[in-house]
Amino acid sequence: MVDLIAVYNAFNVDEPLPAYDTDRYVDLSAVRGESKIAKKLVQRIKNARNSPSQHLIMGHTKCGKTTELNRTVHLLAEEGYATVFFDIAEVATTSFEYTTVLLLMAGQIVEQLAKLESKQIKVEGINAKKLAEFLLSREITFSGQISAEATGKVEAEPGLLAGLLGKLGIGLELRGGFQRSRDITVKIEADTRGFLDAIHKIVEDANKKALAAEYKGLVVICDGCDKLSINASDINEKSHDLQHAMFVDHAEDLRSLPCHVIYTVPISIPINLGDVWQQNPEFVPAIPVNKLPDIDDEHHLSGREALKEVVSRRLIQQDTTIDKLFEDPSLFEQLLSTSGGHISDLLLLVQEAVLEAQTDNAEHIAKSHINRSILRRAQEYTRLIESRYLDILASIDQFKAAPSNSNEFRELIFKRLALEYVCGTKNCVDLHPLVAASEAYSRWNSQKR
Amino acid sequence: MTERTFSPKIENLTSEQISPVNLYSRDAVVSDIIDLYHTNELLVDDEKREIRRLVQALHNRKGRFGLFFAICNENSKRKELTQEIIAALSDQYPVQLQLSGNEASLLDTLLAVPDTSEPLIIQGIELLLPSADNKKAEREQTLQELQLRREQFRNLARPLLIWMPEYVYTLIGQQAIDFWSWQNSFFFTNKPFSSDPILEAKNILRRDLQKDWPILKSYIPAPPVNFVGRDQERDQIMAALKNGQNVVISGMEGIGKTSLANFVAESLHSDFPDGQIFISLNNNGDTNAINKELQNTILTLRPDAELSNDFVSLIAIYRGLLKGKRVLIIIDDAPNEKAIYPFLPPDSSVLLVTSRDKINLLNGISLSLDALSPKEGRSLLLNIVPHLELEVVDKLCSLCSYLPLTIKMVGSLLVNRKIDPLFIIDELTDRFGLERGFAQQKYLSLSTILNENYNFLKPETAQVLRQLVIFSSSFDSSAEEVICQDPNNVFLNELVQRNLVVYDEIQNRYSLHDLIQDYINNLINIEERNNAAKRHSIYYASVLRAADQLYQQGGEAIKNGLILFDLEWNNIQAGQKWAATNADKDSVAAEICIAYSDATLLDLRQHPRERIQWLESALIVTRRLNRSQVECAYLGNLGNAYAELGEFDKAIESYEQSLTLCRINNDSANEGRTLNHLGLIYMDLGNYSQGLKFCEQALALAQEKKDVLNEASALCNLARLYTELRIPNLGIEFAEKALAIFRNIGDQRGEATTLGNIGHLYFISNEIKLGIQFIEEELMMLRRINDRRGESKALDSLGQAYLSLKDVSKAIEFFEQSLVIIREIGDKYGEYIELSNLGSAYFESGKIKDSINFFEQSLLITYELKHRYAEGDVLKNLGVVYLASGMVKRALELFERSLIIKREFGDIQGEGSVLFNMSVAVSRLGDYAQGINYAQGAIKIFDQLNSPHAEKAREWLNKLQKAISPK
Repeated sequence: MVDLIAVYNAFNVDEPLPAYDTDRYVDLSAVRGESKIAKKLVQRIKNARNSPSQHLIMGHTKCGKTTELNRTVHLLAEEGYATVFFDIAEVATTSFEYTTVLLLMAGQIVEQLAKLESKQIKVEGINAKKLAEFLLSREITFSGQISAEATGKVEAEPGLLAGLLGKLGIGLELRGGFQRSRDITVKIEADTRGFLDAIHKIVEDANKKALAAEYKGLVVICDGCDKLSINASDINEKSHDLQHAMFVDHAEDLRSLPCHVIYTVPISIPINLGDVWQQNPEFVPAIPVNKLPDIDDEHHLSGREALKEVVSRRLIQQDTTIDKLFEDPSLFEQLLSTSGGHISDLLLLVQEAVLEAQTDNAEHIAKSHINRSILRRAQEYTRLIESRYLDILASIDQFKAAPSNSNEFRELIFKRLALEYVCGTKNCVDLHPLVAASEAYSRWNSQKR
Repeated sequence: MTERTFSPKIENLTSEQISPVNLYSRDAVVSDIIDLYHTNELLVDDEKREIRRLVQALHNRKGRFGLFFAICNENSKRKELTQEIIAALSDQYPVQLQLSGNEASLLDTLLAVPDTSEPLIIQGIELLLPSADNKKAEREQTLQELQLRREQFRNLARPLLIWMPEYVYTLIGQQAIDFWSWQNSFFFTNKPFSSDPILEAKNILRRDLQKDWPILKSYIPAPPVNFVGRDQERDQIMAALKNGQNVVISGMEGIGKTSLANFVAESLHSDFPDGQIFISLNNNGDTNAINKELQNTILTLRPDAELSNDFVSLIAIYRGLLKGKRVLIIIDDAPNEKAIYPFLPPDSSVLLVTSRDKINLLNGISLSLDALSPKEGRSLLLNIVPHLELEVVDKLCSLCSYLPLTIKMVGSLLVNRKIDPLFIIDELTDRFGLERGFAQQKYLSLSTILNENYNFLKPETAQVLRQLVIFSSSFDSSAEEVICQDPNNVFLNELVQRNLVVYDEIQNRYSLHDLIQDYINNLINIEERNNAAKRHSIYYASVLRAADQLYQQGGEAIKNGLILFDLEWNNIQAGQKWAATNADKDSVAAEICIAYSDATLLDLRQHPRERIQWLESALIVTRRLNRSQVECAYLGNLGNAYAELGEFDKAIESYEQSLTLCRINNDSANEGRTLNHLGLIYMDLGNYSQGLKFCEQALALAQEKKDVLNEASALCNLARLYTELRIPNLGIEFAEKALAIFRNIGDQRGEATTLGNIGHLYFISNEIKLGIQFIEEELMMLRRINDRRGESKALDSLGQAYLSLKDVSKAIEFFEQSLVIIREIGDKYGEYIELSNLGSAYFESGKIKDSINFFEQSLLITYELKHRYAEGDVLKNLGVVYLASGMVKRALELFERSLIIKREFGDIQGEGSVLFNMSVAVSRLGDYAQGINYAQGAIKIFDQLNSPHAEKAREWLNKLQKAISPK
């Protein structure tokens, strides 16, 4: 008998796979237009040799970027690099801008290098002190007590600064939110040069020390930048385009670090990043599972096989298979089609179908469970569709391509109402099947007709 | 007699044009999901089940992080449900947390809840997400925290159940998608799945009503209590409606069209026992509005009807509900003709339409109501009687209720009889209002004034006026001269002067006002009427002949012939009617009854249904008079008419009768023609071996009798046969022989047609460009002989050619050009074909919506034409479009309706094609077993017909069988 509780939990989507989880990891590069993301990133860093390099990775929310980055860290460690990996969204709490990213990055470098398993690296105290002094001189206080702490002990061990910077994010006034980040940025921007110098000094020193410790180099991976929301309002109700500000206006600042650095970028970024970053992001597209116009069948057929493998591997760990879990394997195919090739949607659909089966005290997933699972997900997607999206959805539906110059399109991609695929050399955009089928879209569509 | 020669047919769309079935097409997936919405079992909001599901989810995530959103708009109910959930969680002891709204951070607050792995149930998150505009920053704050710190929520390591109202749920989805995408949702709102207001309304109604709904209620608003006048119009409308004719009342705003319509409806209560419906379009022709009205009407007819968003399905539902019922449907304030089409009922019911503009319906009468403004009334009367005092003018106009005709008649009386206006005001007025309890009011009735005018006429003039009643529409002076025996139109001119006859200077034609016509109708006696009608019938038979001669002359003359015909069509129809009615008692009537059916241009202009009627009346006479030569020709024409309607059985029957007669008469010319027709009809039916048999017989006969015209026709038909069989070499051989003959005898039309055939033959041998050259040559020739109809067909062929070259935009261009001509010559059948072609072309170019739009227009025309056969074709094509666009269920519905029609007509080729498409459709829905069934049915038919489609269908069947067999 299938242990449905175990199966339910095996399809939890809120955790990316750890790098070592080879049992569950399926290399999907073949079905993502040959995007061997982790390997490519490592190779690029190796190619850059001792010069600093910057890399971008881009993909839909919950498409497996972090999984790829985990593997990248793993591979880099094998190659002998010192790596600092952190999720900016975790340390920055509510919102961030390039300034806060760089600050937090400096903190993470100091902190994580000091804790490396084999050869620890201690960043020079004098540089950390300079940064702390800079911040204090600009009256950037983190919170009452930390500020006092910092003032008193700035000349002490560099570890303290690490701690201080590490706490920076957590110390931000949460109710201040974006405005708080704005305050910091405004203060820093009174002397951007000085700020960047202070940051660069720390990184430069860390890089030098890493090389001296016979690491091949220092790689900083900043995950979570893609979670940056598109807009935020400041205290004057003025709306800021956060993504554009960070990855376009301040791309130079993010690129200026004297080490190797990898950022995740939001998929909804409006412009061609290749112009500013002098390289195109590594793209983690959705996986074709349904026939796309003018695309050979092999793409979606192999996409389906790959995702079937993803699910099968999770099931095998629970001692079951698709054939055993579903009353009829074609039911799974239906979920697969419905997911539009978005992994976490597929996992959620399976998980929900399991829950439905459990609710009915069934041992296997039957047609009605599938239907309920799909319908629930479809209802959820309906909620995400705002009326201003409808025209653009229709255009995507018709042309299967990204409309140019559309702010709505960024949002659609961000909210994965539309999915991007890479089939061989062809790029293609399509509506998420659940969106195309949603009441909101189909009703509008039929009325329009 | 006309030859049914090669005419381009709309390509039958079969699934060859759809990419071979793809089980994984996104559109199919989408269609499956859409279909799920209609699965009733899922719409039931079963609270108990939802609680069970939630408890199971909490149980699954015991001791681990899990994110669950419970959605319920009522605060008190949330608390109640929480208690139920806690009670059901046997092995867990949830902690409840009520947020205050002052929390600095949601996550931090949650992390601070005592360290335990028990589920955490949170109430009041909406306080952190206030919806007020001035709380935007607070709201964004929380949303950003959810979005960015989502990973840290995992540190809670316990199941999290968050209660929220629906708007919060949507808000989080839209603004914090990453956090949202982890959650499972549980709905406890009243109706989570049906937000469709129509659906809701339907559900409410369903509860209130018993299952069946046998008799409709009357929904007609009551007419105003003081409704007066319009007696003539009312009688006219009532008579027409009782007679099953649709009626359009037009006239300016506020003139009382709606009141009249409602008054009529009230009076006709017992004549429409199944009820009366009132549909108000408010002069709005917007498709959405019409769609909506149609839905409402359907719900009125049957409150628990299953609605659809699809326009065509709606029309079908509507017509289905009215089938066999006798219902009066009032459409109030219709913007145009197009807006009325969807509401055209089946024969048993009738439409009563009011509209600001004059609208003509195919089966119906149209009358306009008129009244003038005081200013208009004044100027009208002063125009006739210039020196009248203004006060008197206004008084008179007011007494005339500003009705122009009455005013004119008053004017005429004043001028011609030179009477004192006061006499009119004091002596001629009637009174009304008493019986309804209103104060008496004076008014001038039209009949009184008409009486005064009529009585003043000289007897000869009065006689002419009486005879004018025979004209059923406008007429010219020569017709009047002959029919009313009025040399030099002396009396007619006098009547014009007296405003009793209207003269249209631009058209140079005369007419009677409807009301005057009604008035005279009561004055003319039977004998006088019959004599006039006889002269009228004879006269218009000659007009028809003249028009037909012009038409057959070709060139510019065609146009003149058609103009003449169109002008006099109503009179021609009336003439034929008299002849047909009197054929058994009047020898002259018998002769002209035969003559009326002998006009080629009737093929173009007359609805085949009416032509059948005419021919059948004529055939009765020919049999009685032993005119077997004519009979045999007319039987052939009858066959043609049935063939045009797609009633092939009856067509074949007529042709065979004709054939027998020809052989008895030794009439080889008609025999050859009929053989050719039989060949064509079997080809249409897809029975190529029979087709070949008859064409070969026709050829042999023609060659034996040296009948070159029939020989060329037979060769031409054989060429077409080989086109259908896709053997171009043979076809071209025959076509070239035909071409030589046509050139030899100087038959330009035949030559052009054959050139067209050759073009088509090159098309099928895939030498499209060469084919186009031939069609272009054909087109030039047709333009030279000014054969507009042929031209439209050639343009159509060019469209087809470019379509097969995948040059869709060019194809569309040609189809549109063709459509312009077709509309110009008023060829409704052609319009149906061209609209269908445009539908196919847009389908090819992937513009599904446009394609559907054209097919729907085309479908409406088939309704208007009452052409079931064509309806079946369009339904099939529309189905193919829906199938390709992934709306499989809808497609299947259309196929099913098409199949019924195909079977009704014994069109087995069509049946095969529909079955094949149905196989594709059901297989997409996963029902392979049924798919195989349908495919086998299709193959059986294709085999029987030796159809080239058989192979394709076999391939498809193999695929299906493979799919179903275990791997």
